Amino acid sequence: MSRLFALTRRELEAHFFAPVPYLVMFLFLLMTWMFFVVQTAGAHIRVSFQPVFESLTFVLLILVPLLTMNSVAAERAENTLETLLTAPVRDWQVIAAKWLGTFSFYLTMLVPTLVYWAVLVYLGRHIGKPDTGPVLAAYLGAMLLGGLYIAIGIFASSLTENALLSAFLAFFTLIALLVVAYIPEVSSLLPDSVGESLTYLNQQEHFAVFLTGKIAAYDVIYFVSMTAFFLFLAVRALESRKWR
Amino acid sequence: MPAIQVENLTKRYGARTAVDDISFSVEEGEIVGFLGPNGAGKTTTLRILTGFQPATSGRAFVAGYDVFNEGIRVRENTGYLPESTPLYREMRVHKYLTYRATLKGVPRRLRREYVESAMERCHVIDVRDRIIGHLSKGYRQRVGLADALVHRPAVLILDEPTSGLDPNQVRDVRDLVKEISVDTTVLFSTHTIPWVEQVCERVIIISRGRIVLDGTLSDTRKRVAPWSRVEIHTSAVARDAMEVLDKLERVFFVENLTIGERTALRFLTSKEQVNDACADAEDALSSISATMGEPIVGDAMVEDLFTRLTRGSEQVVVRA
Ligand SMILES: Nc1ncnc2c1ncn2[C@@H]1O[C@H](COP(=O)(O)OP(=O)(O)OP(=O)(O)O)[C@@H](O)[C@H]1O
Ligand SMILES: [Mg+2]
Repeated sequence: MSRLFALTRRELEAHFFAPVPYLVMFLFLLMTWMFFVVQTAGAHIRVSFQPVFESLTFVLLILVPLLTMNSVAAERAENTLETLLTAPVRDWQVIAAKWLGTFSFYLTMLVPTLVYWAVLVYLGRHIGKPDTGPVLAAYLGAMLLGGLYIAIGIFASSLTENALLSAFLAFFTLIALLVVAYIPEVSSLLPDSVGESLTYLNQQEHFAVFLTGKIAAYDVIYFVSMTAFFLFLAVRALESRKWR
Repeated sequence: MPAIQVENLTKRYGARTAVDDISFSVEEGEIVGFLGPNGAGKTTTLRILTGFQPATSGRAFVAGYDVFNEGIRVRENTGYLPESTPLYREMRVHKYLTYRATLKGVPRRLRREYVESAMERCHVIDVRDRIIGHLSKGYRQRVGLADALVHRPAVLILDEPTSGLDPNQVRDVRDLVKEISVDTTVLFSTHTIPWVEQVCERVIIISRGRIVLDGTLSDTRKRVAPWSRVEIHTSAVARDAMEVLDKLERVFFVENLTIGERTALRFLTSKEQVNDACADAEDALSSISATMGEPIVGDAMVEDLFTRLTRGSEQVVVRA
């Protein structure tokens, strides 16, 4: 346990020693703030928190790959992976710590958005505050969405020693999940039932449910299982050194 | 059981065989030099021993544990310094070592003490608060060593611990390794022979994935004792001179030492025949109408054996 904790802590700290994560955090706050301002400016009846995260699926498409691109790739390039994996740690612990560390950074990124909520509560004191339930649902959705993106990013990073390439790989994997069900060539080839399960892969479909204020097991399971799946692939990619 | 035992280890990368059926062992408390030219398979072997890569076939035990089935146990009891001393450059020295001690399972209450004593042993106390990326290569090497021994392992495996260091730092690291070896088994790879002669009891020479020599240093010295090394200067072009000398029966391992204008060559020959061999060489050179200066004859050294074993053809190795 202390090993996993030590690994995670280093992973998180590494984010604060590089310029890119700060840039990512800045862009994230800038973008969510813009959506917030644009969409709530005209609201008279009841203010809503939803706009803050409405475009999260797309915002994170670019930002998360920037956050995860170095995670394994840089260790490969610098050869610190050899030092790391010849310590008495298991491959899954390394990947789990990479995810936990980056996820913790992501959570730190979400914290300032609580200010928007506070602002809404203040602005809405006469015309109706946002309900607490849907806001919490939105936050849960945002956490699950970010967790999945980070898992995909780490998987992509574990495939190569080139950080930029890994960012592109993550970006295209995320795009693929979004669009695969809507490519006519793909869906016409497949029987309807399979075509429908492809829409199951679409992260936006599931995330949108959280933004409506609902928390359904169906969607939670989607995020948790997909996250676990990509982390599993990342562990396998790390192990691949053994059969190359 | 020895501290390190390797049995018929083979590692192939696709069609290339990097390590070819090697066996050796290192007894507890020994310090052994693992010598070989570039690409001989040193790093590959050490990576297998530390569990970073598996072998294609064969078995290996480190500190009494099976490398392939008890990897975690092996790594708990082994300190490893990889070839290029990879470190997290953004971390501070003592934080890095504390982090590594935690990973290696040093209990919390002992961590501080272990880290302090590793820093002391490796003489990095004065840079304890510096950022690793800002340190000189010599200091980084010592931080790497401190990392390797911070958890007080029974076995230390060092891959070229002095590559890229200036002579003073080489001496420092060498003394350090010698000091550490008092209570730890050490296996280190290198391609510099003096290093081995100064710190090792035993040497294993590997060439093209095979072990060509495994013995104590005094045995090795005995092996080279019947040989002389001869240095000559000649007016011939190096390439032509080497060609004719290579054909001679009593002349072995002609090497080109030419730096300036005048061609300088070195070869080995048996001590008894040294005068004949020099005469042969002079005749051979005069046959291409070149002259030869007075030969400088000396005792062959471990270095010459290394050259012979790693550069010669199989046949010559047998003859030696
Ligand atoms: N990942 C790899 N894929 C393919 N071939 C490899 C790989 N790693 C090493 N080799 C090959 O295996 C052989 C042995 O390499 P190794 O790195 O073990 O040599 P070495 O003795 O450590 O050399 P050096 O003194 O240059 O460090 C070389 O021919 C090398 O090209
Ligand atoms: Mg090497």
